[in-house]
This record gives sequence, C-alpha cells and structure tokens, in this order.
Amino acid sequence: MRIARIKTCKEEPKSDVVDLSLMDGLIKKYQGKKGSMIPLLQGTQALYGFIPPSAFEKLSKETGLALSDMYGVVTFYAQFRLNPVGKYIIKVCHGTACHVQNASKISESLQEALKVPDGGTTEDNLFTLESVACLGCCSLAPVMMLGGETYGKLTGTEAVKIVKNIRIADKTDKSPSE
Amino acid sequence: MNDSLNILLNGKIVVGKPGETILELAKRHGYHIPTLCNDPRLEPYSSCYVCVVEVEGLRGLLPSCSTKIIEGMKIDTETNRVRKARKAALDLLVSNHYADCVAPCKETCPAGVDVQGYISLIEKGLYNEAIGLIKEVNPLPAICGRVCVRPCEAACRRNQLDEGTGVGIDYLKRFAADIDLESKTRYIPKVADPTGKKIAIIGAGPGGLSCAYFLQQKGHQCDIYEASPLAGGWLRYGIPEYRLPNDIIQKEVDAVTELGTRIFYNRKLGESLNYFELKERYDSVILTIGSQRGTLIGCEGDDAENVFSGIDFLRNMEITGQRYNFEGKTVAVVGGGNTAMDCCRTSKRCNADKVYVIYRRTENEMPANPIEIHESKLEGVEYLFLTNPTRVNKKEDGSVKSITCLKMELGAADSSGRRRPIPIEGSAFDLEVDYILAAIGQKTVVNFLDNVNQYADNGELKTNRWGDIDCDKYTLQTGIPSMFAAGDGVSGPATIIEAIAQAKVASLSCHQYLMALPVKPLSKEFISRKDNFRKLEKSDFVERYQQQLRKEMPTLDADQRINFNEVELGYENEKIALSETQRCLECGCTEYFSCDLKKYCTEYDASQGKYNGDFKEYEVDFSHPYIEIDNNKCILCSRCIRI
Amino acid sequence: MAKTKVIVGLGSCGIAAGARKTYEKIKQLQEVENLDFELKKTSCIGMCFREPLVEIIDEHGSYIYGNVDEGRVVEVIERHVINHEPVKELVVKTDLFQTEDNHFFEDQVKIALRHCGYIDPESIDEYEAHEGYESIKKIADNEIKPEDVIGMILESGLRGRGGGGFPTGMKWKFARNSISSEKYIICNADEGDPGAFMDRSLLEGDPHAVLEGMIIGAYAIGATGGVIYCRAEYPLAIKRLNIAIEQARDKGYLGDHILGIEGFCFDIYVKEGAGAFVCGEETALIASVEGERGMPRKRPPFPAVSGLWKKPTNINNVETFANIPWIVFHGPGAYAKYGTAKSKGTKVFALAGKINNSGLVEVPMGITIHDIIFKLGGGIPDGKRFKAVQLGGPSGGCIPEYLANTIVDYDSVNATGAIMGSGGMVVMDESTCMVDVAKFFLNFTQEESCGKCTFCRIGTKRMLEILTRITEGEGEEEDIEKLEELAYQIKDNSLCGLGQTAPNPVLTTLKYFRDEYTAHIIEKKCPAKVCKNLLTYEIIADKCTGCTVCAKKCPVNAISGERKLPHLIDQEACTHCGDCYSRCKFDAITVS
Repeated sequence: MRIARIKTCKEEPKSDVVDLSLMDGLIKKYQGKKGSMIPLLQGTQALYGFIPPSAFEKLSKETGLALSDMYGVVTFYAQFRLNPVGKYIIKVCHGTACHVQNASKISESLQEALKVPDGGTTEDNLFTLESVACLGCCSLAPVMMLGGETYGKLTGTEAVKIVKNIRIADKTDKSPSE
Repeated sequence: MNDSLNILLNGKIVVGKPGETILELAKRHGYHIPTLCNDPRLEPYSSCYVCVVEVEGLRGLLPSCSTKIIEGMKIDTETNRVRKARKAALDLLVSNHYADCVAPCKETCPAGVDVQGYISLIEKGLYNEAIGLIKEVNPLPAICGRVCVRPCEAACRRNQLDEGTGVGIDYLKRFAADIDLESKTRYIPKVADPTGKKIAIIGAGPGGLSCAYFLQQKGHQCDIYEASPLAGGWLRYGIPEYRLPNDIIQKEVDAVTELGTRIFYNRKLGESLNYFELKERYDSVILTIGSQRGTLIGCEGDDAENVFSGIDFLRNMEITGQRYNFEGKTVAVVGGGNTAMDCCRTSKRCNADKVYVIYRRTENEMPANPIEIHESKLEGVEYLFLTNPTRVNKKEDGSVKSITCLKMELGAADSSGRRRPIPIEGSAFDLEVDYILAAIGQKTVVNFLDNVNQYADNGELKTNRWGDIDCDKYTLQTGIPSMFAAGDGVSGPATIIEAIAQAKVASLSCHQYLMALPVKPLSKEFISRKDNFRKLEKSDFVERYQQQLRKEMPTLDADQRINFNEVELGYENEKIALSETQRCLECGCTEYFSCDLKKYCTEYDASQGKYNGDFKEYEVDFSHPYIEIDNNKCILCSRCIRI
Repeated sequence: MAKTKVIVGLGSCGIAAGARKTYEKIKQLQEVENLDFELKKTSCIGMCFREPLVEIIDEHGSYIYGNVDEGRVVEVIERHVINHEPVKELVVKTDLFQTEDNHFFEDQVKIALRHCGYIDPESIDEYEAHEGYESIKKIADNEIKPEDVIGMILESGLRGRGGGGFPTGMKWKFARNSISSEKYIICNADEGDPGAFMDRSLLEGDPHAVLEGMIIGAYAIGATGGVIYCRAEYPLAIKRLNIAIEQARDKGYLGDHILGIEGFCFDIYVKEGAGAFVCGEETALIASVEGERGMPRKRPPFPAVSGLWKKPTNINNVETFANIPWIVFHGPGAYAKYGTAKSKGTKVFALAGKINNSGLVEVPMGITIHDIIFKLGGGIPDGKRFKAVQLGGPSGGCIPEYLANTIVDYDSVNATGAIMGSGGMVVMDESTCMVDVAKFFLNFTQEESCGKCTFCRIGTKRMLEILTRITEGEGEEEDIEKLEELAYQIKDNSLCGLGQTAPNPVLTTLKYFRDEYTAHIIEKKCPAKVCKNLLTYEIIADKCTGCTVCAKKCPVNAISGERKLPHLIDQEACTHCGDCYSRCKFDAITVS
C-alpha cells in the first residue's frame, strides 16, 4: 500500500571541472596489477587534493573497479577526501603525548581564529583544519604540521600567529605577477 | 587422514566432519544457535556476534558461524555466560535500532487488535479477511466499530499532520464489519474437535460473549448464564439504539452461538442459579458480571421519586420495551461521561422539553467522547458547567421539585491530574426539574460470594476493597483455581475493549487450567519503539506526507433525530472507505512476523533502554518501486553487500 | 689523519626542531669560511629532547652537541672545528667525559637501534661498512639451511615487538610448514599507536636493517614476495625505504638467486597505508594490501596458512625485523644474554608525556619502569609528582606509581593489566586526569573501529558516552558497574585485537584509580583539575588588585568589577575556559 509521500528533491551536486587526463599515467601504471584500488585512489588524490566524483567514474570505466567498492574504501580510510581542500592543510596532532600537553587548546584557538569547525575549510579556500592521530614528534608536543613544516611546543596564540604569517606570505606571493 | 572428528558438544560426544563450523555441527545435532549475519549461501562474516559459544581453553567466546571444529574441542552452546553475552549483543544492536516494531495504534489497543493489518486488508477489498484478523482478538467488530472509545485513534500518528484528525480507524472497522455481516462469505472461525470440557460463563455482556467465542473455538462447550431476558449486557441495556441498534447486537451474538455456545436467560447467580449446580455440571466457571449498580448523586433528598441512576433509566426502557414520555418535562443529567451523554440524548428522544447536563468541571475535563458532546449539543442539550448539585428538593408527593446547585471554580490539580472543583460560597441557585438522572459512576455488586464459597472445594472467592472480584493481575484466576473473571467486574467500570482484552486473558488461563497446563500469562514480546529514543514531533510528519483530510461519518440531520434510528450512517461506499485507508502511515514494521532480531530479543529478554545513548537517524529511501531501504533498522551485517 | 666529520641529525623530530635550518647554516658557514670538514646527515639518535643534534667527530673522538639551533651553529663550529676546542657546556654525549645527560645512555643497549643516528640512512655503503648485509652473506657462505635459521631465532627467544609478543621463531616455523609455491612476508609498519614513534625512527634511520631482516625471513620461510605496509603519515620513511630497496636491488640483495642461493628469488615493494589504525591488525592489513576495506577476518585460518591472496603469509613488526640481522650475525646466545627468562633481548620505548627526557630508548627487558622514568627519563618536569604511566597505547593500560617497580617484560606487564604493546610509554603526573585519559583512548579506538562486529562498534561507543557524561559532571552511580560489565563483554566478544583491547585503558584506570571516578561521579569534582565542567574558578578578593585584565579577556563577560576593586566571577555564566586563570599575574584566581 503506498501512501502519498512528498518526495524531497535531492540537491544537484555541484559539477566539478577537473582535467581528468592527468590520471591517464596513473591508471596505466597500475593496469592489470592486483590490489591496486588503494594506490589508484591515493594517486588521484595526490593530483587534485581530493577525489572528484568524475574521477570515480573514470576509474570505474577504465579499470573495471566497481563504484560501490571504491565508495566503501574511500569512506573507510581517513586519508581520503571527497571535498576540495584549501591550499594549506593544517594538521594538529592529537596523539597521546600532545593531548596530555593540551593539544585541544591549539585546535580550539585555530577553530576560533579561522572560524571553521574541525575538518572544515576557510571561506577563502586557503586553509583546511584537521585533527590527526599522531605525527610521531612526541617530544615536541603539542605539534602541528603545515605546508610540509612541523611546528612544535606550541601554544594557542603561537599557532594562530604562524597561520596568520603564512596567510600574509601567501598574499604577497600572489600580488605582483597577477 | 581423519574423516571424522570427535567433539564434546554440550556434554555429549558427537562426530563432526572436518571443515565444519561449530554452527553447522550444532545444527546437525539439533542444537539451535541464534544467528543474524550468517547465511548458508555466503561465507561466514562474524559481525553480529549473537552466535557465540564457549569453547574450553580458548579465551573469550567464539562466534560459532566461522569457527571451524578441531579434534577434541569441548563446546558449550548454552551456558549462563553465553546467554549473557548474546543478550548483551542484542541489547547493543537494538540500542541503535531507531524503528517501531508495531504501530502505536496496535500497541495502544488494550486487546492488541492489528489495526494496521486490517486497514491494509480493507484497502485491498478483503473485508472478510479483515474481520477474520480483527476477530483473532476482538469478536465484536460491528459493535466496537460503532461505540468503541478508540484509544487507537488518539495514538494515531496521522494526528501529527495538522489535519485535525487521525485515521478514521473505527469508521473503517464498522464499514468492513457491516459488509461482512451481510456477506455470503462471512468470516466464520474453525472450531476444534470437542475436548469434552464444559465451561459456565456468568454474564452475556461483551466480556462473556468474548470468552465464549475464544473458548468454544478450542473445542470446549461454553454455556452462558445471563440474568436479563436478552444477551448483550450494557451493550443492549445501556447504550441506546441510536448509537448501537439491537439487531447489530443480535447478529454479533448469533456469530458466537453459531459456534455451539448456548445462552440461558433470566438466570442470576446467587438467586435463580446456584453455584452448587455449576460445580457439579461444569469443569470451570468464568465470571463476567460487569458493574451493575449505578451510583446516586449522594446528596440530601436523592431518594426522591423520579431520581434515577442513569443506567437504571436506560435499562428499564430496554427491558420493558417502553419509552419514557418526557413531553413537557425538564430533565437534568448529572455527570460528564459517556453514560451522561446516553442519558441526555435519550431524554431528548423521549420528547423532553429541556435537557440539562450538570457537570462540576468544564467541557475540557469531560471524559465523554467529544463526538457525543458535539452531537448532543446539535440535538439541543444544554450544558451547565462548573455546577454541582447539593440538594434535591421534593414536592409534597415526594417527587422532584427542583435541584439546588452550587457554582464551582477550578483549583489546583488532584491526583488524577484534573483540576479540583472548589465551591464558590453563596452561589447557590435552584433549577426546576422534573427528572434527575445520575450518571456519576457504577459499582460492582457481587451478591453470590457466600453461595460460591459455601460449595467451593478448593480456595475462596474474595472481593477487593472497591468491591470488585479479586483475582491474579496477570492470569485473572480467582482464589478458586477453577474460577476466572474478566471485565468491569474485575477492573471496575471501564470500556468495552478492555473487557474484551481481559476476556482473552481469562480464556487463555481457563484453557490452560482445563488442559492441565501451568496457568501463566503469555510472555512479553520484545517491541522496538521510536519513542524509546526521542519523542516524535510534528516536524517528522508535516512536509513528508501529502495532506488528506478525513472522510467524515455521514449522520442524520439534526432535525431528523427525535427517534431511535441510528444517527451515524456508515461510509457510503467502497471508494470513500478506500480513500480513508490510504491515510494510514503504516507505522509498524512490515517484517514484524518474520523478524529474527525481534525473535531473539524476545527469547533473550533484550532491553532497548539498557545502553541508550546516541543513535543514528536516517531518511528512509523510497526511490525504488518495490524495495524500501530503512537504514535506521540496519544492523550492519552486510549480507546485502556480500551477496 | 681522517677529516673531521660534522653530522647533523635529520630525523622527523630533528627537522621539526629546526635541524634543516641548522644543516643549511653549517653548509653556508662551510662554504663562506672554506672550512675543511665532511658534512653528513644522519637520523634520530633517540635523544629527542635535545634536538637539533649535531655530532662532531675529530681526532679525539665523538662529541654529540644538543640544542644546536640555527643561532648556536656559529659558536659551535667556530670553537670546536676551527679552534679545536669542544664547547663542553653543550655536549650531551661523549666517551671522553661525563655529561649531564650521560644517564640517558648508560642503561641503554642498542640492538635494534644500533645504526640510528650513526650512519647516513640513504647510503647502502655506510650500512655495509657497519656489519650491514653480513648476516645474509653469512647464511649464503655457510649454506645455513632455512630450518636452522629458524632454529637460531627460536633459540634467541625473540618475541614479536609489535605488541603481540608471540615468539617470532614459532611464527616463522608455521609459515615454513605451509606448503605453497607462493609465500609472502609482510612488514607491519603501520605504527598507529598515538604516542609511538619507534618504528618511524627505525625506518627513517636504518631502512636497510629492516630490509635485511625481511630477506633473512623470506629465506627462512620460503617467501617469494615481500610487502612493507607503511602508514602514509610517514612520508620520509617511505622515501627512504624506496631508496633503500633500489640500492638493495642494485647490489643483488633483492631479486633472483640472491647472493647465489639457488632458487631464492625475492623482491619487496612498499605499500602506503591510508589512515586506518585497525590496519595494524594482521588480517585487516592483508585486506588493505588486497585493496579492500581494512576489516579483520576470523582467524583461523591464520595468515601463516592462508593470508595475502590466500597464500601463506608471515607478518612481523619493523622492530622485530631490525633485530634479526644482529641475532644471525652475533648468534642467538648473545641476544638471549639480555632480558629475563621469558622475555629475551631488548625493547625500544618511546618516552613521552610529562617527562624531562623524552625520546627513544632501547633497554634490556627486566629493567624497572622506575628506572626508565627516573634514570633515563630524568624524572618529571617542574617537580611534579609521578602518577602513572601508560604502556601500550590505546590497547594498553595505566600502571600506577606504586607499581613502578614492575619490571619491563611481557608477563610482568600483563600481570598488572596493561600490555607491553609496541613500546609507547606516556608518563603522567598529578595534573593528568585519569578519567580523561581513559576517555581519550576510548575516543581514539571508537573512531578507529572498523565497525564490523557489534560489541566493538556499538559497545565502545556506549562506553565512551558513559565516560563523557562522567567527565561532564553527569555521571550516575550505576555508571561504574555498567562500564565494567560492558568492558568485559567487549573484551570477550570482539573479532580482532582492537576490540579485545579497547576496554583496557578503562579497566586499568578503574582498577588503580577508582577514587578518581567516584570523585567525578559523586562529588562532581575532578581532582586533577582537567575536566572543564567540573571546575570552579574563583577570585580571591584579598589578592585581586582590580587590574581588569581578566574581565576584559573573558569570552562570555562573566567577570564583573570596577578598576582597583576586587572582581567577581559569575559562576552561572562561566564556561570554564581557564583564560582568566592563565592571565592573572597576581595568582588571585583559584581553580578547584
């Protein structure tokens, strides 16, 4: 028996415009190899910073991997991102040693200063703020990793300062040639 | 190479095949281990952990679905530790199971009628089957379809949709019942072969008729002894014909007698019927005597002539077949329940000039069915709220002259939650009336205690402090093992559907007693409820379902009612009934009957609230035409993916 | 005379402390001043609390300088290299005289970490110069049979260093006994324990040792392929491993008929993890290598019988492999000399938390926890009281102060309720709330749970909810009983080690610190002053000078008061952020 329901219309996903040809070399490298789903997805993420929906389609078509399997893998591992990220990814370590040295305060200060929740990206798409499990630099707790550099023995204010400096540096990098 | 392995299973030495899992081995030897995520067509997955067993020497408990047997294993499938672990697994699973096993309508019905089920059958036009379903627990659908108090409709979730009313459950029941009564393929239950046992049922009201209906099907011979000249109890003698025509009552009574039950009229236990006889001729007795005495107002002068208790007023007319003639008279009805409504509307039909209803609180607190109140006003009854009678004033000849009343105001709430009426000093006034009908309440009268106890071999029949029959709360067995009781006589004045619900319980107990089985109530089944997680609000419903207002019951025009013709006319045709059935939201789970999770939770007495906390809420996916995905119920066993 | 060598420590934590800048500065100085010395890179020596570290080896011997940040470079190079005058105050380790930090090294026995900090990890030549690949050569030259290699490992008493503690020799034996033309050996480098970085240092500092261990293992069990499953959060380790594999192939240590041994064909590749702690579990790891979700599978069948691609597979931890070449070369007896009766050899621990000398230490089994913390670790900073130490990460447990004389070996640690684990040792002092610690670990395991089995998936979540309520002041009396009951059920009924050990932190803290739980639940107080909701901040009127700093900074304007008059905190509005407390220069705010 079907009662009359009001169907909610699904939000149309924003169409992504990415150059999928960048993936060709990657796909060729793993063609025919066993257990290649994860390296393929990792490689794709390395190219775009995240995995766009169209990339999934391409992978599925050209390698025969099922979309549902890929979705299962991508949502299982913490590394994969389905949304675009900012230019810089701020990783605040929340391992045991850092936690004991008040890492939560660092995350809180950054969240407040950048006005993003944990895992979110700033409006100008410059920073994405993440909490990670352990960066392995416990003697320098609390630690944060940003732009390939590791910063240790932080306080909330220092962390915010570092981020602000990078923002300024980034702006000045851009201005002349544009 | 060994072709067989020796295993000690639950203390017995058995032979197992190499490569077998413990689950398979146990099954072959007749031990049933509960599983949820396992399927014989798939590789074992070990997700649900309900199939755990204990193996000597190995730490923890092992999932039997995926543990292969090895030589010399000592396995125990039913130790205390195992049962505790299985219960814990089920407790955890249902603590995240945001769903309803049954719809609130079925749960609220005292008799547990499968409302969702019969509405679905009516939608398909299977009226006989619908009545069959109802009659599993309620043998009087045509009657209840007219006069039930409908707790189901109050609980109906359609109410949350801002349409003013829930689904017209009772209207649909009446529609189907009326068709079935006239139908050539009328539903008739199967009756088992005679057991040779005989039961005496005292009272042919809804309680007694239901007991007879259930027990006759089991093959026992049921004889009903009724004090009045006809069957029906308060259905006939209390509820006026404009609500419940006598011929409908008779048809439902005939449906009981056609199974083999016999009814003996004008036989009253303690007077024209002696317990001694019953003890000799019957194997057990069920008392369904109802609450027969009406309470009078309890004020000075209420012994005046023309002051009646409401139920006596109604009964007298039915027994004598004569209507009172109130032409030119004024009638005052005291009370605010359904009996008061019956009295005032009947008085109008007896041509009373004026009919007042005197009630000490306001309309909001009246326990009567709002439909009745509405109809009575249409018919011209006048209401005096916040008014309480204090004295009846007599004429010289002892009949009623007037009634002195006091105005009231509402104070703080009392133990029932309703605000107490407090008299306003100096507000007394007199109301000139000719008749006063007291519809304040009823009491049970057990006038055969001595008679019974004198002849009882075993045990004693007692009454409790309210005068009702004393019996076990769960089995309805009285102090005398062969005697049971049900209905108003046990609970005090209540509703028809409650009497029917009690009749089912008493019938089961009586049957167990007759078959020399232990007399115990049905074990509680496990029910998952969304209410255990959070209260459902309007926002869960509005915006999800299209609005559809209820089809209202067609009634006689107000000026056509000075007679005792049925006021409610029933849905005109199938199309209207069909459209009403489509308002049902189908709140209960369609897998209710085949659900393993529910089965095991009942078996292991799982509790949904034990580990309450965060729970996942998902939108149900209706995009597929035949398959509905409700992730709220998912236990993540991944069978759907593995297959 | 050999040229003076200047070696800069460039492990991940060195780089985090600024070692790269130190290196660049030294290089710059060398060019500008045209100095004659050899500038090299090495990895972490384990003395993380003194990073950046620079070692200078001259004709007298070796001097290791600590805390040599960019600013100090000039002083050290000028005085020591140019003027031949060691800067004694900055030297942290040398054989030539006693330093303050000597005790950090005194009790250490470096077997697994033998090369870390002493060789350039990107040079196979340096590795070979320090006993590198000698063991596999020994096996080839003396035609030692695989069974005998296994015998050596068995005799040495080596137990799995990843946390399980299963005798490595036995594991290899099972794998050997499985008949198959295809076998695999996997190195578990998915060091997921937060607070553990031993494997990282090993992989960054001495990748060849791990490779050699795997090659010996492959020979012993008959493996045809090898995988190193390394977590993606260690990019430097992955880079160095790949370089090392290339170098090993070039020299014939990997490939066909290795070192002339007929039929021994073996190669290794590195597989990057994708951020799932559960993939440290054997069967989940195998699933991940196969490209699937890392969900554990039921054992039996054990990986030694049916593992990667359903072939016999042997999985060992990085540290376990690092020990193998040393054992083969020096003989099992030399290894068994160290340790206790049932736990032979040494173990690497990552000391972190509230401790003066945080870093990596390798100690023989049998040393007491007290010695590790106070002798090597230098005790608790700021004179605070030692309260407990967490061993084994989120699968382990807390050992309280009064059990500090527990010796470090598998069985003694297990007896306390904790587990040895992979070696993460986090020290806690009186300012750590044990309930909060239990909550932290449970939060971690809950997030990392793969979600397959009921008890781990839902059970840990419910435990976490109870703990969260307790730390927020909403604990109820039945909570402790409920926690314990759930904990034992989860331990008994989980598919893999993650679930089976997730309740350990809760159980051990309940066992040893039950009073903290009752304080939270009944008195609604946090004795360590950590759980925000249970704190009360108050201003002592006598000490308050009315400077208004706290009132201005309060994020919810809960402090009122006029200039120069004592201020007042409105308790209803206070969010317990602690800002005022940290800002008050007059110690006028108390927290209780």
